[in-house]
Amino acid sequence: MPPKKVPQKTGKLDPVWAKPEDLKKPETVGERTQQRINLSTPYHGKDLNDLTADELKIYSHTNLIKPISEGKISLSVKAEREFWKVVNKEKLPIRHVRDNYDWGKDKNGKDIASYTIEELNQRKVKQARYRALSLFSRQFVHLRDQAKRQGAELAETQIEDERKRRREMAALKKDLYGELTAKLVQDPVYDDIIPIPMEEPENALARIAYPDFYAEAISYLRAVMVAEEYTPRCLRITEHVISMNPAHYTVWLYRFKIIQVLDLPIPDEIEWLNEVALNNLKNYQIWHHRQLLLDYYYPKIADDEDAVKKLAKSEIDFVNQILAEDTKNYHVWSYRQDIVAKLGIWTVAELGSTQNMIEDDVRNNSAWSHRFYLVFSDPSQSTKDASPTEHDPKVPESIIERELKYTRDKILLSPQNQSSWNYLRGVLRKAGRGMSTEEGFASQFAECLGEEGEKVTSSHALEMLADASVETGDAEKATLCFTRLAKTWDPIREGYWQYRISQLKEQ
Amino acid sequence: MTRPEPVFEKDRHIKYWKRCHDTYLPSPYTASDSTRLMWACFTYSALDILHVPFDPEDVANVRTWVLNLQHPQGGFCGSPAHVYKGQAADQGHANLAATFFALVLLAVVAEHGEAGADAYAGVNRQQTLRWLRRLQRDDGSFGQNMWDGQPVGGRDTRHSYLASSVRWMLRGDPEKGSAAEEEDIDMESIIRHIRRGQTFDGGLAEASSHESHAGYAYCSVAALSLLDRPLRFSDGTSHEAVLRGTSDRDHLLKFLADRQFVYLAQDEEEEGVSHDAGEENFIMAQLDSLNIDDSCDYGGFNGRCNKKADTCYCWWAMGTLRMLDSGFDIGASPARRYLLEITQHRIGGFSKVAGAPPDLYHAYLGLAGLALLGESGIKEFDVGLCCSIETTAKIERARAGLIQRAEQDAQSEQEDRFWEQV
Repeated sequence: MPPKKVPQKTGKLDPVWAKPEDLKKPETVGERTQQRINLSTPYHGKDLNDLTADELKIYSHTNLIKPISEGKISLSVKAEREFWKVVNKEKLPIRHVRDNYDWGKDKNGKDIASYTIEELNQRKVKQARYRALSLFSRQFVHLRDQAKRQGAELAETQIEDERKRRREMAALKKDLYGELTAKLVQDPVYDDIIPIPMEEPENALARIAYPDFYAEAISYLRAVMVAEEYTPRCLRITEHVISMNPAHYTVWLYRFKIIQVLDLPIPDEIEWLNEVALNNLKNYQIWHHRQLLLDYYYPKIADDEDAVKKLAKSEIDFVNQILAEDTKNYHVWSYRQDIVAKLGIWTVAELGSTQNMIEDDVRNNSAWSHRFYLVFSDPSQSTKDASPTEHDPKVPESIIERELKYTRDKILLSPQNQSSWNYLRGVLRKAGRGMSTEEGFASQFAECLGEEGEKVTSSHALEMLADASVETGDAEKATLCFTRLAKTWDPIREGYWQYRISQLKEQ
Repeated sequence: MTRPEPVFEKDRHIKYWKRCHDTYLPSPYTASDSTRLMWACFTYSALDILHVPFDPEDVANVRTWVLNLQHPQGGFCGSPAHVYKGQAADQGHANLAATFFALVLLAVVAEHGEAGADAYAGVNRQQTLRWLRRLQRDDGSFGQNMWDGQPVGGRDTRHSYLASSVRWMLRGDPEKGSAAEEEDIDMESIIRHIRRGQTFDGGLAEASSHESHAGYAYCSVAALSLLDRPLRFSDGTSHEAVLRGTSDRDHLLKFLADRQFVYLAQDEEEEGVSHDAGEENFIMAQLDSLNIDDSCDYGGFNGRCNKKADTCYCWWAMGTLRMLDSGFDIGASPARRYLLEITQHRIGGFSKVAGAPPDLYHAYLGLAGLALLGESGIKEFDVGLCCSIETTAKIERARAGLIQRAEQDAQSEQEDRFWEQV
């Protein structure tokens, strides 16, 4: 026979007014509260007429002892003894739970009353943890002030501990109350900076819904800039601001100055900048900053040929990396043109890498422009500072022929691609040759002009034929070409073609 | 069959700009926090060219906000982030673009007629013109701000344009020896610098080694055009500086005329979804399909050869042609159809490309493009300063008022001294 179950003694006796649901284990915080209300206020909410005499007695006694148990009425010693005797005998509840108790809501708007008991306990642990951390944090500040008064500083480990502590506090605050802690105040190294907030009246113009803590970052930046502080921590503030607003026009200059003052290695800064550039493809300031860095760095290594070559290679590699993602990025191409001149990258490899981009996309005008620059401004085979649209006798004939052939090949691939036609015209100008020298080539794209069966596969070829005719003084043919462009092959520019015809008449 | 004329949804644009005026700009605008003056100027100028009157209280607020951005040593700072108060006031940084937009904006909200003579009251003309001169480098280019006593920033012609505009808006032509007389910027070197920017294909850029770009072409030509502009715009414009600053005009005209192309709406839209390789290029029309009557429906513009169409280049390319007194029209009707049917947005404003949300920049330059095309419902437009002709007239009055005040102040100061001496 199994042993007989003996009800466990809890040490407290359930009051007679307790209902079964008041005695079961509560699931939620709200439920527990309700139970406590029910147990501490007998028969509340019931119609008094429905109560038995005993129940009525308990009900009225409970209410009668309230002012005394709550200390609102004081009794003589003797009377008080009597009072407690009765209370004990009848097991009346002397403390009451307010029946409109509000647990409040958590950060997600969830009622805390709907938490399980366990969840509430966890929350309380976190709150206690937060309070404890704030005490330690206050102690840290105190110790640091004390150290400072004695001309000493705290150990880096203590600062790192405090940094971790503040991060944990910020995380707890967010977790418990959904409140965000600003970024910079989480790091004790910024504690002594007194931020200078920007003035933003309520009716300011062009207000922007700034991301969290942008205003904080700016106010710290303003403070250190005014203080003319150039330290590593300021470098981190600039990085923080740049991450939110890479187009800020003085943060980059300030950053550059910090690098100069601290004499930081430029290659490190360039490496950092690479990341920023990859995240902000369209930004202009980044490339300007890079240019400043290079202008500053280059003289230091100018005498070391290997170092210059190494720099040129790493710069071009990075430029290529960006261009692989954004093939026509204007700032990047402009930067490329500038470093070619500065670092002397008039190399076969550079021409090859540009050529690859044209092979990938024959309509990439940026690549064509760069090619023109590489070929016709190379100091070894061109006149210094020659205008890009003028004849340059210093350019070798072999180069001219190579470029003409290359361009014609590309035109044959895509006859309506204007980039290659513009290039062809450019080469002819450099060569001091007229457009008419390519008349034969251009004619294949415009057959039977003005006749039955007219077929034009490139409006740019037709334009070149027109220009060739203007050159040779054949106004009739030029007019025909312009008219055919205006009427049929490039009607969107009709006004321009008519203008060209009117120019013919003036001549 | 003729297609219905495209409709300029003026009311929706007004709604768009009022919304920009009343509410916060979304957080991506944080990256242009340093040019908030530009957004403010676009907002008020757009409402102005759309004939929306301003509330006097609002005007006072604009003036206070703008003048608060002024730097004690001349020029305006781009946003409150760059302004310091009190003893640190000198530590802020004025910026050329901000100064341009501040001066235009003060005029946009100014009153018409004589009452507008005070529009620049509070503007430190003398300091700003001196700061402007300090911004010019030996090579003729302009920096965007001063740093450690040096002009800094790129050398591109955006700065040349802004400098030339600020000069025109403030300098005027006080009598020789007058208290308001200020030394000029170096005219020869600014023209030379711009002239060096013509590229092998006739276009313009910061330097001839760079790729030609319609935006820089506008800035270069507008800079030149404003150098020559008479004090009263209505007196007509001389083209001397433009001629001297562009080495090959015919070639430049061709470059600008080439910026327009037949925009194949359907193909572009389909490609937009597929994200194919080569998405950086506009889709070329088959030449033999061009003679079908309606093939020229949409005339898009790009800023560089082969690039896709973009709302703002309609303005940059057409505006530049206008200033060059080109003698021909580009496809006005296809351009209008492109703007109104492709990038005019349902909620008002214009987007950069089809299918994108509108943004302030393209919304404003879209209107500017339409203004050049003579759209009814938009005020007559100043192609050089990118505001209404009315605003330009207000700038002229404000400048005259400023100069007159400077002269009077100098005179009364002298009179005071006279009495001191007696």
